[in-house]
Amino acid sequence: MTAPAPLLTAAHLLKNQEFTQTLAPSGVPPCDASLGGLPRGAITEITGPRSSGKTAFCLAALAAATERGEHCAYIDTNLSFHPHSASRAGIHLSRLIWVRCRYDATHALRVADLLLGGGGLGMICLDLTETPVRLLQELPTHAWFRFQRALTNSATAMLVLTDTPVAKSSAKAALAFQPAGARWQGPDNARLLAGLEAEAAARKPMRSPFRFACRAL
Amino acid sequence: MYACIHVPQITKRTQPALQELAVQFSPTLEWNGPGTITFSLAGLTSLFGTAAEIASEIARRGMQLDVHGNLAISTNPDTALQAARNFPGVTVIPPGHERAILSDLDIRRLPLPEAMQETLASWGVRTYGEFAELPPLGVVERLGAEGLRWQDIARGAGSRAYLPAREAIEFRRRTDLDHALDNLQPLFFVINGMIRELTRELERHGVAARQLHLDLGQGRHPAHQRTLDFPVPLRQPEALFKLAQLDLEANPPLHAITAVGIAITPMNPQVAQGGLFTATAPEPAQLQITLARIAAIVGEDNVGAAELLDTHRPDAYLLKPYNAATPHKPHHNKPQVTLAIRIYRPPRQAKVTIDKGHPARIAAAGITGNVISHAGPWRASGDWWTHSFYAREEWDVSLSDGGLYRVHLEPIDRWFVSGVYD
Repeated sequence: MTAPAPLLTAAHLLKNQEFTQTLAPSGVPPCDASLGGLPRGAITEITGPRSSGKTAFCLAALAAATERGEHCAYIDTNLSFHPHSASRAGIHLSRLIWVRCRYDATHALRVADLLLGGGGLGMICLDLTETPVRLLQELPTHAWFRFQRALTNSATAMLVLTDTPVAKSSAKAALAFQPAGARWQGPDNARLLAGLEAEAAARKPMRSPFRFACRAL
Repeated sequence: MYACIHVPQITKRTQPALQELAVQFSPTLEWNGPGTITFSLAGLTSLFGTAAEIASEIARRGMQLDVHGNLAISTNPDTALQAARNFPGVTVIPPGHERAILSDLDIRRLPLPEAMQETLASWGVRTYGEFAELPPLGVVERLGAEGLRWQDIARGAGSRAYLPAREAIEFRRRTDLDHALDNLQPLFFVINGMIRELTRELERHGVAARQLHLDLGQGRHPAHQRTLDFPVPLRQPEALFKLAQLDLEANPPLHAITAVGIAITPMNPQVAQGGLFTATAPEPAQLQITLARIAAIVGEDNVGAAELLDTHRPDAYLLKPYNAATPHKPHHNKPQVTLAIRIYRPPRQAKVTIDKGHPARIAAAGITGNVISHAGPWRASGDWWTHSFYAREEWDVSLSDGGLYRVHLEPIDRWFVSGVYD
């Protein structure tokens, strides 16, 4: 007599949910090959110093999302979003809600909260880059748990762009970018900036680092 | 079946008389220009008899109302319109005979676009019948879908939908308050009630709100007026009220309110069927409320969708209100990662040391380093014919701090860091 098939428990289902969670293609082929994409219904934290390619990565992800017809949002804390770069990256600007928070990170969090509550967006990018560390530390920690809860069971992928990690355990995925050098072309007297090399280490989930090039158009 | 009456000699009395005549036969009318009206004859056969009998009844009542024009009856409104415009007296077109009856008409009587008219003349097409004889595939290839539509009309097989005219309805409420209100909360009760009444009316007429106008009387002071434009037509009272509430909280009246007036500009509600494989989208009414709430936090001018301006001026864009109903047109380009720049607004003033004609060291707020590599200068200038002219020399520099920046020199000999590549 064969043993009966084991019953699926709620714990099993919850555990399996980890693997069945949908991923949004990031628009960066090496990232998709490494991670499979950006998790929907979760926070992905993207950190890195200046010129590490994190903004280019984020714009590529938004471009892929708007190309799929999704409505997205860019919460621009420090007024640094460049629409021309976004357009060159392939973002459909008519599908991107741009919110300028006038250097107020608290406003940025409130805006993110409202957008998550509204629902229906494919991707939300919360850009806290160049926000002073002191202000980042003053941000309420519960905000990230709140975002995590609001994202649960939604199809929204939330990207948090910062210089140093802020969402920490609330982030389901974490990518740390490092500059890998600028690419120049032409002789010294007529040199052109051809692009930027970037290297990203997937901290969460742990994966081998991937590299990609950001080309100047 | 449809009847069309065309009055060639229009007088002041023509339009009201035509309307009066048409409403005796149909509750829905379609105006096709001055002196021409089309109306449906659905259900009249049991009342008056055959099409010819209906036509004679319309003609009889038309004489009573002093309407002197052409009447045509056909199974489709386009054919009825063409016949009424081109045949004098009464024309009843039996089903299946549309093409034959219209075939001898001069092609110049068909209101084609000028270019299409010239093309047909160059092909030697002189009548409706000759146009109808042309192979449809060839017409589509040479004149496009518009050409095919006109050919169908010339064939008496127009497939346009009948568009009954709506009466202009005013959605307006005004209440004079017994006591002046100097607090927003009680005012919201009044506004909420009025909006609910108006949305019920909107629903009854099958329309939605495109614009909401608030006119709050302030006694002897000028009225406090606010106009809310909705990119997507709304009919939900909760959404309309919430948007009005958020707007008034952001722009409160300066004096006590003595009267409340609300007017709604109607438009047809948006009807869109969600596709099985289309991306999910935010619910339009909910999104408008969310954006209004965000506007209350960051300001109305700081939320929307960017639109690039057709100019070479650096960082030229316009922030327009976000419209979730904008149709999506995919680029179908292969995904690629492009170099992005983060702009410093305003640009950071910098001290730049020049060595051999190019920047050697840069110091600005939060940015200091020796230049390792550089490219430039790229000169840009424009709008010199206006007061807002611009001229600058731009450099791309890689600094010893690891950053890759764009710096620029303005004619006043001041350097700025415009942004950082990231």
